[in-house]
Amino acid sequence: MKMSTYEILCCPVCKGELELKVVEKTVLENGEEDVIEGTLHCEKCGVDYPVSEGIPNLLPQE
Amino acid sequence: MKTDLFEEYAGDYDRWFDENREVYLAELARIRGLLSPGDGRSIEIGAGSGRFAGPLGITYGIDPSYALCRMSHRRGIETIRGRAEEIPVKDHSFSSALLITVICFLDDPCRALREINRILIPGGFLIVAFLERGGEVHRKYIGEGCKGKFLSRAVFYTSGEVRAFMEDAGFLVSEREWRAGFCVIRAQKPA
Repeated sequence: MKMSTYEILCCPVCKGELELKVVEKTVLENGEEDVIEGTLHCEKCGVDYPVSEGIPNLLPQE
Repeated sequence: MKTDLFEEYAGDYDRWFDENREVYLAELARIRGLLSPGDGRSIEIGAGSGRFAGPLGITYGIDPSYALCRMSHRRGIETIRGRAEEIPVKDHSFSSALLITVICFLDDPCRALREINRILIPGGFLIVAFLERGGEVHRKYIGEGCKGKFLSRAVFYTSGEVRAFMEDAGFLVSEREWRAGFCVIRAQKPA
């Protein structure tokens, strides 16, 4: 998940901002950071959405 | 989305495009004909394994299946796992969106189209391509081999029904063409 992608993502349920915590990242050829592992936290919903193998999982959680 | 089949048979789904290359390339060419060239802010909703997004130069893809997301990610698509009915993207983030042979698998196509409208900029456009109910392709694949396995779970619509869904979601339909039961509609979000 590129940092430019993170900027357009929101919570699938409340559409609010997500707070990113990076566990592992790489830097792409153009200098942009690419998040491999981490979490996207929605404070309003109290939910952590995982980023795994570079793919953010923003399926609504039960 | 009826995703369990796609999760389990992701490999079979992806192989269909190699085994039915002529049909796949013909569908691809027709969609390409309605795309605006060089649009860097484009997203495919229900991008699957990236078989359309990749060759069409679509940068972003969203799909609920993890197995298919991994395939499209490997094909260089910036992939987001999510549902069309609850798109995890901020308002006005994209200038175009594609929905290719996906509307038949959605739990709530009207809600998905409203979500697509929300994430597009004013003046942005949407291309919806689908197999028409009762059309040539629909009749041919039902009950037949691998694609039949997926299509047997689908809910098919006529082009008139899809057009009405799109207009209800706030789109203005500008072009519509159908051949051999595969229909492609281009519509715009009012500027």
